[in-house]
Amino acid sequence: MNLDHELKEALWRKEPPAGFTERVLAAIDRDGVAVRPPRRGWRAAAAAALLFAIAGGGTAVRVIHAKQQMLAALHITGAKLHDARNQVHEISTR
Amino acid sequence: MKKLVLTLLVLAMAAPLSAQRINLDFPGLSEKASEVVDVTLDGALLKLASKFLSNGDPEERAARDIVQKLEGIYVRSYSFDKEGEYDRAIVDRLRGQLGTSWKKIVNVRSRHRENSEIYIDTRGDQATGMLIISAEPRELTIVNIVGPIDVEKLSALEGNFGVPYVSKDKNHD
Repeated sequence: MNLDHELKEALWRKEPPAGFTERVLAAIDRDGVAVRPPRRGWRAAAAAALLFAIAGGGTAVRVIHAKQQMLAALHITGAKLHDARNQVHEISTR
Repeated sequence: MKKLVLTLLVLAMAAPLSAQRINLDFPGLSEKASEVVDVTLDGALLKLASKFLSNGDPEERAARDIVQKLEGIYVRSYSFDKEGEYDRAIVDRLRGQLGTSWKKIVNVRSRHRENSEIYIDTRGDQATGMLIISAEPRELTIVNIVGPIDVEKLSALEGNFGVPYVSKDKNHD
């Protein structure tokens, strides 16, 4: 058997046996599988994970912003101190 | 009554130790400016930010050394398209806020360049605050540093943060 033939066999659409759909629907009605609500624990965990991600992301953004602001403030402070010192230096060496 | 007196006494003793934050609100000035830099970092934010500074980067290491005891850094910088777009009285209002503990350590007046004023808030031997006013024809910059300032560490700004060395003993310029 070659590969083409094996693939064709494997992917060939097969009709379900007679009464398959009825048996599945009866099982759903009997066991209530499809209508069972998700467990509360999972819901709470998912909500907690989402909140954690949002809160964590928010904090990270806040920290990055604060760090950038701090470095910018020091840049400006340093530049202004330098300018003043430079002016004093120029005047004193005239 | 005794408690009240004691509380007032403690507050009166504590007050001189706390650094003064200058009011840097100038209504309407931002709207006139073509560019505005507004940095407001209180002690909590400074502490938070400094925890994320890298040890490997000399600039960030210097930043941590400078800010570790500070209670706040406040910067307002306004650039204008034309000369005379801001009211020089703003500078007077800033000066008017300074109490007797503030000492002017630098005052440079220039007709063509910027006028620079640097004030230090001294409580005992300790510098607990700094105010820098840089008034140029098209730019006004005010920096208020609140908290104990280590002047030695502040000099570490030189050579970092894009600030070149200017000291005679350092040949980096």
